[in-house]
Amino acid sequence: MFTKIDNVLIKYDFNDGISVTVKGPEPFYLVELREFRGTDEHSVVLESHHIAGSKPRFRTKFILPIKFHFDFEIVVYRYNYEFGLERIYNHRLNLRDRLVKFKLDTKNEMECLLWVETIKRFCKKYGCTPWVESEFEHINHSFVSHLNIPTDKIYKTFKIGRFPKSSNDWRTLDPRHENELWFGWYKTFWSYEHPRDYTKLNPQELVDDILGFS
Amino acid sequence: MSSIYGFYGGSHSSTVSLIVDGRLVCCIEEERTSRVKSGDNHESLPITCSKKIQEYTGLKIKDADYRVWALPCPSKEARKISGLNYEKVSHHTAHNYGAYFTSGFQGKVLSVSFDGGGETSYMKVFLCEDGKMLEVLNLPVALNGSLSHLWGFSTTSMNGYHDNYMSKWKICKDEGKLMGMAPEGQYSERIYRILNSLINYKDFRFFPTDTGTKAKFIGMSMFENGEFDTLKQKEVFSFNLQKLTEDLMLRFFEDLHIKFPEYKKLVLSGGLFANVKLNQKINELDWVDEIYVFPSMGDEGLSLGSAIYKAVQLGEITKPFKMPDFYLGTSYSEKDVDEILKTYNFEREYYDPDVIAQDIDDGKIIGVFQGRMEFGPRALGNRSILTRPTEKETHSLLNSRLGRYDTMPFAPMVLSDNFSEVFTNSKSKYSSEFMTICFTTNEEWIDKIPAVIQKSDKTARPQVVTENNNPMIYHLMKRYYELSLIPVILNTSFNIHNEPIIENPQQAFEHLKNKVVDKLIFEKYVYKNR
Repeated sequence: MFTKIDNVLIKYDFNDGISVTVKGPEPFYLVELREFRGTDEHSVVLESHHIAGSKPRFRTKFILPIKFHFDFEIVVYRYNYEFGLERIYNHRLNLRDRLVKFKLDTKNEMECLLWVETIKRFCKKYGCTPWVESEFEHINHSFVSHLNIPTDKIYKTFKIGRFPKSSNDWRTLDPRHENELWFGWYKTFWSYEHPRDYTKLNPQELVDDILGFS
Repeated sequence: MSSIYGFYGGSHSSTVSLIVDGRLVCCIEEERTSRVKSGDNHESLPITCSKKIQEYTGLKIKDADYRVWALPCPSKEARKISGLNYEKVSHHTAHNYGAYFTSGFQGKVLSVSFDGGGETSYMKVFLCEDGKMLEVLNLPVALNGSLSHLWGFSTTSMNGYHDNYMSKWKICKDEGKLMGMAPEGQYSERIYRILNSLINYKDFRFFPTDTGTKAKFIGMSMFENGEFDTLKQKEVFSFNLQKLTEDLMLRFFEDLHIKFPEYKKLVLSGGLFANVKLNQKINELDWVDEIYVFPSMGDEGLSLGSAIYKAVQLGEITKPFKMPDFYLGTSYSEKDVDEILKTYNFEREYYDPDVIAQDIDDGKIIGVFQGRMEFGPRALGNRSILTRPTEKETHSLLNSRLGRYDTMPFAPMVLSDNFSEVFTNSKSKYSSEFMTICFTTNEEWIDKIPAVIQKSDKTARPQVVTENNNPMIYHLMKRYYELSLIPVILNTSFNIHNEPIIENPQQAFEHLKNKVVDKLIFEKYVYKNR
């Protein structure tokens, strides 16, 4: 997905985590990932980075490998000489009428069927169109036919399965570090893909965990 | 009765402290023993200082009754120190316990800590009375901003970057440069507005969140935009940063006063209160009777704070006590340097305060190495460099000797009896024994001691010297006073630029050899180059 504000091009992608790139005349842009909690309309910062615009310094992309469902928005700021931070764009996750892909990582057909029921519930709740990809063709075909859909139409992808802890730990670093990466100061998830430790979850809890029903 | 080792580390400002039977026995900072400045190593552990404290006190860490670690604590790494586990103490609880119980304040006391973040919060406030502390405010990191982050990340942006994109000025190290520049700047509506958009205060909340990243973004953008190209621009920015800090914090303290009007004594800790100008403004509030700033107010004080917390839990410390001094580090005797001295070609004579007072009056630069090392960021006369405060040029002379470029003035030591003669406000004299508050200089003294006065706002950061807290310096100052009628001596820490304050005599001798100082007082002798 992309948008253009003045002469700033903003691209975002929610398929493999959350990523944002910004191209424009300013040396840097600030990108925030903000979370909405409950019914509160005020979001809180979950993660923020400066990314390079015209200046090839520091990182060039905001990327965070969070893959489970939660209510978030991305916000892009630029520097304004008079006022400092100027919010130039925000986009809140909105699945309504969007194509959403679900990759089911299991070889167990029963488990797959169980997950599909939760996916249907999820799509009904959020008004999105599901595209299911699993090892079982008949399950896949019970949803939309995906053969003719261009992949850039997919708004969000969820992987459902058991993923290794090793590569996905949230890390808490001292934000006073130079060029810091600053993850999960106040919300320590077990991994980017499971809010909770999957080894302690049964298949139903697993899919609930990833799709935000738990 | 028990022995308690307190630790802090895994970030900047690693330290170790030992309390035995409720008595503060020894505290050492890692930077003093590792010789790497704390601000240059943000992942340090208290390794070399732990070794040193065991050697110095003879008590092995494993033999202590308790081991506590102020959070955040990198557990795996922490175990490397002794192979043992530690009890953990909340970061801001440790700040507040250390500060309150060394304040000596009786009656109702408000204890406030504020910094760039502990394990979960930026600030805690306690109501204290008769050795009891009740937490009444906790500002979670998730829902608040931090003024310390605004200072830290403004610092890293202001002076540009090395080729590897690391900033030239460092967080938790160079913020003082901005505070030193601030009085030379002036109000700018635009800069103030920009800074205010990064942090504001209302109803016991600092907002928006995530101040650090935002401040760094604005700082980098301003740097790229050429807004820090000149010294004047930096001074204007710093002035507005200082003003905003004072404005927000004074509003916060006024709100605290409205909520707890019977609490008129303040105890302050956490890195934000390293800002001596802010402390001055708080001290000048009409309703404040007295303030006490913990002498090791930054995270280096956490090892002591956590050990005090444990001692309080055990009932071994029950009431706040006054620190006779803050010389809690290592010491060396003449016997320790016999061998070392053979490698130098120094002249030696007995220390005579009359001779040294005359040297100071003549403008000589005198190094002092006596007794136990100070704990905390200030040199208080045991690892100090002294000279006369009466000549403006002393600033550039000392800067060249120390390889220092700061515009910030050096600090004065002042005889306790003459304190109110030299400075306008005599509140919080006890805290001033540890050089933690600025004071405005009386008009008639401004031209007499120009080397220790901030020329724009006429303030200074004095250390009050009494016969009890440092007898050797007190008697030397008395002699200098008799000679010059000046009850003030310039005091700066005994180290060159980018070096931690010296810890052992060899480091002092090296500075004498390299002519950083003209003479060196080491215990009862004075050394000079042949």
